[in-house]
Amino acid sequence: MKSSSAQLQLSMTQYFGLQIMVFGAISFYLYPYFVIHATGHGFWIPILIWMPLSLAGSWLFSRMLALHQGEDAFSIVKRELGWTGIVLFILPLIWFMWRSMVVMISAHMEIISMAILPTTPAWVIAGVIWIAVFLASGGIGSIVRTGMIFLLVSFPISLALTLLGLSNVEFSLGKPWLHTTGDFLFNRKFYASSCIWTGYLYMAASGKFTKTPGKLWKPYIAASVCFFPLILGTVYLPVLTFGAEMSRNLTLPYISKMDSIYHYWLVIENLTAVFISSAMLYVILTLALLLHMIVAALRVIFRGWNDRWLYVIVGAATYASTLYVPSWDWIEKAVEWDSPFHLYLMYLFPLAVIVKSLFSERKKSHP
Amino acid sequence: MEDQHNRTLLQHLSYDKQNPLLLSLERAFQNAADFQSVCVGHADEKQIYLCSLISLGGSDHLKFHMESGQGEALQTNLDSYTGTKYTVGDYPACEKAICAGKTILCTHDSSSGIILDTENPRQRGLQQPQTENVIKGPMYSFNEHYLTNIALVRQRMQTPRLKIWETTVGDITRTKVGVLYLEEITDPGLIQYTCDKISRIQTDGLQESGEMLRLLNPKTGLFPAAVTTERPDRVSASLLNGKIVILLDGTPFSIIAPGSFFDFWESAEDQYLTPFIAVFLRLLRFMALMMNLFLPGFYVAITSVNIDVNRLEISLAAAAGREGVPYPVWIESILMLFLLDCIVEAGIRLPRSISSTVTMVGGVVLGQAIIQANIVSNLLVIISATTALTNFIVVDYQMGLVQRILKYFILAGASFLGILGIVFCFSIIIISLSRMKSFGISYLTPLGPDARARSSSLGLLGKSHHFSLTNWLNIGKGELP
Amino acid sequence: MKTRLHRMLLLGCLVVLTLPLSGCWDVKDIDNRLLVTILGIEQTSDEKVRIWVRIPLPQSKESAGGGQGKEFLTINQIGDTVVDALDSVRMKLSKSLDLSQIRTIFLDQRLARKGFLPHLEFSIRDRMLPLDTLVALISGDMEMMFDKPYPTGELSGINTKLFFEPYAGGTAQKNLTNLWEVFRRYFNPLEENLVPVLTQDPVTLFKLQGSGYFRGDRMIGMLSPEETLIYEIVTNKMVPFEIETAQKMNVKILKSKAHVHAEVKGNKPVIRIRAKLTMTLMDSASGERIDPLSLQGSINRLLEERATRVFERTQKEQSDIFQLGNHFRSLLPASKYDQWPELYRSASIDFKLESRLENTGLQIMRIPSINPSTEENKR
Repeated sequence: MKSSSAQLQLSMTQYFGLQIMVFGAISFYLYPYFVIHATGHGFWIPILIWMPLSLAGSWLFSRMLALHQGEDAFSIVKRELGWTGIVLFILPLIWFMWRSMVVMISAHMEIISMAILPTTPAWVIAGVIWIAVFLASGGIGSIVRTGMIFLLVSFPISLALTLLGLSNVEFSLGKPWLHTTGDFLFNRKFYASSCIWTGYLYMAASGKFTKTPGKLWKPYIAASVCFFPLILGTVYLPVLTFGAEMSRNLTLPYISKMDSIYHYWLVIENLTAVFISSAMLYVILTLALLLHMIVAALRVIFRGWNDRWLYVIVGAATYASTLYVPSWDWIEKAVEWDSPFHLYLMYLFPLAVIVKSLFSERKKSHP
Repeated sequence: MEDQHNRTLLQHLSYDKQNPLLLSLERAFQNAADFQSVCVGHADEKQIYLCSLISLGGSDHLKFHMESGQGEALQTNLDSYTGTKYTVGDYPACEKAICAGKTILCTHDSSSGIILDTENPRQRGLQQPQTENVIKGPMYSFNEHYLTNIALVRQRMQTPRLKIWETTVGDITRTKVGVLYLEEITDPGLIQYTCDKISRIQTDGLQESGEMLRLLNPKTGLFPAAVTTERPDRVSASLLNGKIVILLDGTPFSIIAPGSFFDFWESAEDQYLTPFIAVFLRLLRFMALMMNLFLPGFYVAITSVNIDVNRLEISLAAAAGREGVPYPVWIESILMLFLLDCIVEAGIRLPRSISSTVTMVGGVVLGQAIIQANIVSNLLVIISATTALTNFIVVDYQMGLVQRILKYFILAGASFLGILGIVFCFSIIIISLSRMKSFGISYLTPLGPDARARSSSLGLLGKSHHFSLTNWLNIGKGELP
Repeated sequence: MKTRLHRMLLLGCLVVLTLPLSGCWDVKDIDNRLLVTILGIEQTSDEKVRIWVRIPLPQSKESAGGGQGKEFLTINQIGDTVVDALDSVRMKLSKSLDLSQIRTIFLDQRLARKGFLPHLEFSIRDRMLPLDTLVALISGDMEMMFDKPYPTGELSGINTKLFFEPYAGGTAQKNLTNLWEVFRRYFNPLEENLVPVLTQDPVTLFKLQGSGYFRGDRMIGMLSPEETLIYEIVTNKMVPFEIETAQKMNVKILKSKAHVHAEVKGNKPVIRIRAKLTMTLMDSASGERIDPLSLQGSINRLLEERATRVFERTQKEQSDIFQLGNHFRSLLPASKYDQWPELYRSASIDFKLESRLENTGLQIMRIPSINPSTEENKR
């Protein structure tokens, strides 16, 4: 048995589970909209382009974490770059995480009010943040354990929904498969669609709980490969059922697709409710992960603050700001505006830290 | 008793004029009606006394000899003692010994006494387990006597590697507590942790192992921290599995530590059946758990919030059943569930002969009448009956009680936000489970960091003779230390 | 010990606080809702919309035993739009009108000829209706559909749904159309809608009249049930179905597999359709010996002729109900998708059927002396 003082250790399987949960929380709501609007056809190309790019990013990120085993990304930045690093990277990262929380909660709030609870006020549903605060305040061990259970519940559901979505699919609607004009490269929505590939950034704080942080890109790869069929499904199931033209006219193509499934043997009539249920599990866990990360980041800046109060403060701030989200359009725009921002964090941030550490090491060896 | 012998025996006693033992004992047990100190003879001009609690100590071990002494009066003298080897103790030891049912032999002015093992424990015989019935398997269970229980375990595990660490807990009750473990199999850290925790318990008294569990794991809240069992076979299986067992004097229930949420769904019987049947049974129990927790909530959700989740036919049937019911669905459900819990509780507390009548009256008559009086809908009666039934499938009694409470919690969530409320309540339950620790180990044990790592020194992991969820569900075990 | 007690108290207070909260917002008990199962939309003479809703009334055991209560409730209401009319209906009702369980939408044929979009748009925007709702056109009086009880009993929404569903009363000629399909074909320039048309029947309340084909959101013509069969064959939606041949023989189509080959030759779409049918003989009316080859030939001829007729008609009206345009997605540039109706008119379509009689069924051997065939009998 490990004594309580010893550093808690996470296995690669657990990181894999966390990554899957993060994917589940960020890829179902806005992603299909972005991809369908980014290009006219051949949707798998913009989907597939980001995957290897993000793998490269995750490799860089894990290299950065490997610089100092047993420390989170924030302490590493502070150690390598000092206050410049904090201003250049940690503050943007906190902003990014806070923004993702707000977007995630308000998007799901909209989905819920559109699909199952039309008249319930937003402030009730936004209360999900307090569940996440409860979870996050239990520490990373509690987050991981909950994550495993949630994974066991919601991932099979997502998988089953994707399989069920294959009913009424007409493959001729997906044509042309191979032809592409590359038009998406000039579309802002294509860059916004990279938001689901930021999963490894969510491990900035929890990356310290392994003896081999250099290998953290492996669970990320495994998770993205495992989740790839579901990501394809979010885009292609509506497209192959409704056609690209109609999908473009729907705010939430994937939710509508869930709504259109009917089978005589299917006990549950409204698959949207099932989908939302599983999505909420993903969201609760990812919110907790984000909260844990923000608190870890804040602790690097403000040492000696009480953890519990930090959680409550961050939770309250997020809760308040989600209530100020004006509309669905704002959520779409917010992710678009943030895209240069998260691209900067995905690549430049780990790269800068690694380069800096290389320089300082060279300086040490050749004084 | 022969004088020669007598004299050597009495030589063990020490003398201190200040604190004669007899006086101190008599003062201590003043007003205790069952305390007895009798003079049983003389030796070297000293009166020899026997002190004991007659309610506990049996006189079977002592033989008296009656003779006519000086004068004509008959004199009773202690003739012989049969029993284990005696020990000599000072006042505190003698006081404890008397409380444990032993007899003290001392002279009127000695400051220490000879402790004779004369206790005659009151215990019932070995019986069938009351709470964990099995169809196939050993049919006897622990009783309330500590040593008997240890003996039952020893009989099953004839190895010197079975170690017992003993202490007493409770300033007043001085309940004997034993920690059993198998050397080289059980994680030493766990033993250390547990013994440390037990010796730090500060309490006046201890009656039952459930109380002990709460003292050891104060943060577990609603859920029981570990499985308690009265089955010696389950205890020895757990010992082999690297767990520790805490036995308590005065209760047949022993604690198997550390506990995990999934342990509560394992029956002792599972290991005696073929794996397929065991898997089926566990699946059955799992489904029962799900139904018991979620069915009432689900009913409320689909009849008052998310109407479109189920088929139209069911909706119409539910609407028809509710025709004329004056209360909202959630009040109706709480009412019915509460009533049903009352019936169950009444059935448990009453003598067996009456309890069947109560069930009859409660279940059939009340159920029929309540529908006809249009207070609840007939669909709800089906739901609540199923809920009650599935509650009895739970193997562990403690967990069954927890479930009874949790279903109200989920019902509250469902009547608030429908399906989404159920999901929220479910996640809150899971989160609180994940935050819990039992004996320093994750309560969701096969999952997550801090899970119980089984020692592989015996090769138990490889052989996998033990059929447990742990072996099947080895996700995220964490790195072995 | 004290803190735990406090926590318990806090928890208890929270629970007590939440209890009065329930009953707000979306919490509406099922007996306080009226579940609409069919929505009918028709146009009045003064350009307004008249909606019909049919609501099954729950029948509890006790009330059914006593008075023969009404099984359903029908309400009609005129309004400027469908939503407006629904709001007016709500004003009349003592219970909440719930559209989430609608199973069928009936559209008046006249309304469909003017364009259905303005009247159906609300459904997708509001997400009030489930997207798997069936859509059917009604020719004739809408009132007849809503006023009478169903001969097979109420649960009317289900009744209309079962009429189409392959697991119940659906046959190949009843072309099941979901709401989402209607919208997909409207939005997709490469295909057009084909929606079943129902008409009144004195006994069973309604029967199939045919299928209306659309251009955009306007119905422009109707196919007969026999012609709808071609649609089912080309789009591979065939369910086992019996047809009658010219020789008065009934064959059952067990399987059908159509393969569409599309190419563009000099700005003109060329479509070749090869369909394979597997059949079994059901009944031969005349009791003659059956020659599989000639039977197959006659089936081929029958269906091919029918197909040619249907293709000609739809091509003339530029209504590609067969979703042939989707096969040209990769052959045409996206900018040309909108011109598909014209291209479809000029397309050359070649439909070849290959039918195979799998077995002739159990036959009673004809022995002239015992059971002579009917013709011999007459002689």
